[in-house]
Amino acid sequence: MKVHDALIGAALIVFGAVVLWHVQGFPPIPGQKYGAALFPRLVAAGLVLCGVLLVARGMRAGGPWLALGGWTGHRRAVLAFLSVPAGLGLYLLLADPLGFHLTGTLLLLGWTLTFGARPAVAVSVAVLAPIVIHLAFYKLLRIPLPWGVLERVVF
Amino acid sequence: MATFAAAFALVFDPYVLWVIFASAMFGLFVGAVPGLTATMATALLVPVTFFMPPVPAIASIVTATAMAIFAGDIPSCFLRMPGTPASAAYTDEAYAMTKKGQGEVALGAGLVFSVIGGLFGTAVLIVAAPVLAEVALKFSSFEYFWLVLMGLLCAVFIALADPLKGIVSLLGGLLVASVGLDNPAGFPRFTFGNAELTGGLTLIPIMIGMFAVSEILRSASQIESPWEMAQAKIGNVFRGMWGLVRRYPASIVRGSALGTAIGALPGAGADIAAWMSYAMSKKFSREPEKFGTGHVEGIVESGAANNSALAGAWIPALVFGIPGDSITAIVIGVLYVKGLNPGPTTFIENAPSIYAIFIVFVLANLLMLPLGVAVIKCAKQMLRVPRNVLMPVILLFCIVGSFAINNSLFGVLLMLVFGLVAWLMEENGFPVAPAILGLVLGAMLEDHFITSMIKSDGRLAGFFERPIAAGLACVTIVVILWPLARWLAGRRRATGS
Repeated sequence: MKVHDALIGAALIVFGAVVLWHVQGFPPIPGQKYGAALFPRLVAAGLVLCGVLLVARGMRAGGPWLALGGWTGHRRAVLAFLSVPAGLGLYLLLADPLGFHLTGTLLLLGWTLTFGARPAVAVSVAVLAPIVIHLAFYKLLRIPLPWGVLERVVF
Repeated sequence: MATFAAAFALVFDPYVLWVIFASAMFGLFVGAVPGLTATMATALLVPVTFFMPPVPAIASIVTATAMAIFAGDIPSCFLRMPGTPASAAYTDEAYAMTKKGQGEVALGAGLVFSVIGGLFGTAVLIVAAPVLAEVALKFSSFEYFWLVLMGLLCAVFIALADPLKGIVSLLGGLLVASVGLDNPAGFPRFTFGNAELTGGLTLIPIMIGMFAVSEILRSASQIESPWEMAQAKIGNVFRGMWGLVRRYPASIVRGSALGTAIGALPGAGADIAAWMSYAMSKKFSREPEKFGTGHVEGIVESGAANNSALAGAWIPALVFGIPGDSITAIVIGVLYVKGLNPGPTTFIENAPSIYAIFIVFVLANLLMLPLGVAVIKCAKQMLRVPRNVLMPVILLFCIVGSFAINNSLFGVLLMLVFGLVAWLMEENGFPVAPAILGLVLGAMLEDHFITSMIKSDGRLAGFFERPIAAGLACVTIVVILWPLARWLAGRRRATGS
């Protein structure tokens, strides 16, 4: 997905300006002239400047405002791509109530199938991988992966 | 001598050796599978290293990355696909050799000259780092300010074709680094009342997002086509290697030296080292017309270069806390967590650990010979692991890894957001490496900048008054003017012809 340089430049100008406006409220170090605002102010000013240069360069270069890659025409590729952020978003929602193990199994099943694995392979990976991760990370490295609904079953 | 003995004891411990062996296998696998990079291997290793003592933690990263950079050559020979970006420079060459029936020589050269390059870079690291550390002991905030600024600008102006987009990426990284309480004034910036943001954004989930999730997104968007494997009979990969050493001694030294130097330069790592030394090899070759047709000379030189760059990158990382490439950018975070804070004093305070790291470098490069042969033998089976299973499993590992750092789902959210951002950046020609450097070095740059401003009472002349600071300032200015000079030279050539 390619966005025109001029559009990106314009977005940078707006973003930099918002940051410049926001850092005005940062206090200085007591007794000193400089404080929390100086560094982000310089960085934001740099972003605005780069934005201006990108707009200028982009206007000269021309080209479409937005070019979707060739892959966006293929349903499989689009589904596979979208399944990554969608799955991660689902994990954020379900990890605490459902627990890592169930959510992980569901996600793996969804991902392997959308990525085009055979159903038998998908099911076995979805069941086995969370168990392996549980053994490695929960048992060995003692990371408190959330149990969720399984908590009552296990303990 | 006592330090060395202590360092040896730290490395030759059964647990550490086991970690080194396991990381070597991990690194070889990640390197050999196209789409998984050495940086990704590091980012995925970090959550695991969190629970180890300092020496095995660092050893696992050193070993895995060295193996991964070599193993990246393997799919180049069989699939015409680089296993890691560091092998991309000579992928076509290696594949052409396989087609000519010389796959064995290409793989052997990749292995042997990776080891030689790696050992060369390690030797330079061992000699140069303590010497530089002596000098760095005299540095004040002014010198550090210029050094960090020079490093950041090198990453943008020298290593990249499009400096403007590199600058945007760098500034973005610096801005993200300024989130949170960790600034000279101790004021919570850009936190919007969110407790998770007060401590600043945790680096590791961001790294996992930018290097692993973005790679998986790219792989998902490529329409699945099964890999086509070139047939090659692989016998003894060491056959003819001695002949190559005697035939191309200059190439080996040039590649290793250039690789170490590029590695030490912040922002440019193994991939750029390989591209540059491949071009250099062609330029100095007596038979440049053979390049691209399956000629081993370029593989000898750039194969040495990419592995020496790995060790070179550790020089500024250990001495100044300035990463030489994106792998050491992650490593610096690990060093801080392990109490091995990078900087000149670490060579005094943590001498045994530092020497242990040096020993691990040597060990990892030597271990590459037997393990490399084994991996080449079973490469065909390894390359058959289906991507449509591998990528989802890696994704689940990413989730656990980014969760494990703070045991918080916020890490998973960070990973998702920065994964999407990195993917969009690369799609639009914005390099990711400068953003990572900005993120890692932002706090250091600001700290030294504000301290210097306060010390000199706001006079910019104060930044040039100490001799080393003035020297570093001059170099920084040259780095800034470099693209301008190149552009002017290009114009003059265009109008002249």
